[in-house]
Amino acid sequence: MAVYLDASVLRGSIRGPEMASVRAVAKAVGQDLVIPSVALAEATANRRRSFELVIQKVRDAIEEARVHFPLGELSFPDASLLALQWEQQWTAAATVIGLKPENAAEGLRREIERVRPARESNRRASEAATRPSGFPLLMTTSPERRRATSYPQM
Amino acid sequence: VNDFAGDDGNDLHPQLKNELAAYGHMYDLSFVRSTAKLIDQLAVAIDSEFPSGELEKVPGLGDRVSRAIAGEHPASLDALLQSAFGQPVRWTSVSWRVEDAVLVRIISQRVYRIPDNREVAVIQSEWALSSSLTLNGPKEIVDAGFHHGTGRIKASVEIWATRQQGVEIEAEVSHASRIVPVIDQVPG
Repeated sequence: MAVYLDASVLRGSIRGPEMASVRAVAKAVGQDLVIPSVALAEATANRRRSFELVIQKVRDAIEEARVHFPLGELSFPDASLLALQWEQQWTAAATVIGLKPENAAEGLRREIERVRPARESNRRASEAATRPSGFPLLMTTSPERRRATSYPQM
Repeated sequence: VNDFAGDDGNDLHPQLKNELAAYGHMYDLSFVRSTAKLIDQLAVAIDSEFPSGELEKVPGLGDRVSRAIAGEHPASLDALLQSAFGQPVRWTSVSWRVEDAVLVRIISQRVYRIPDNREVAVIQSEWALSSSLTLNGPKEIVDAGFHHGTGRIKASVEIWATRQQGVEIEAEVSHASRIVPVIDQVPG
């Protein structure tokens, strides 16, 4: 029993209301969270870019402030390190499955043949290759049988 | 996720569905489009609600909504310009300052109890924000009088919020969508 997560939902804090709730409920009903490694890599890269953007905004604001008044030296976090820490939180909270050569080959075959999840207009080999045997993400096994009416005490 | 969905957006694409069917019951899988739909499948909604007044009191939420709409959504600037000048504007250079978003209404919400006895609400809401804009180019547009303006947009925003007795609400923006310009109607 597992819930496979797509990179598109791995965007905010793992401890925020959205993902903390999803993790808690999935755990309570006995569904593991599973993330293909390529999806996690994609989400981590997105996260790193978000950190870079924020850090750059702060740098720009400080440079602007220095025009008007002196400011001491300030240190900034390393965006790559922050993203790595975020990735490690997910690695600890979910099962990360590696990309096998046959998954990559299947992804490319789908691109060539325009078979879903590849599209005519939006060809993304990595997208198809991230899913085990090309299966979609963000899905749950037989959810209707696993719906929680009550939770075990935690 | 979009690439896996069928035309209605909520079910698996028929091509992938047929593929799975070929495997018989080897893969008993369901496609769930979003975390909102996922939690609805895994947990049972309870009869409770998060009042809009409580949501408005969450520190910094208006700013975060504003960033989710204007800061991350490429369509928002064009929509703001359309609102400010009454029509779509071709621009090459623009500076804009966005105000905190304001909650217009809660469209719908589903509340669930999560295992540590907190309640989580998945809230579909409508927000409005305004921005003062200055167009700096192209020259012929600026010369035609399209220089300063105030644009207003509305957007649908999914908010996730948790609460526990005696503890302040914690809320975060999941995502923003359906960004539309607000254009004042000239009285006829």
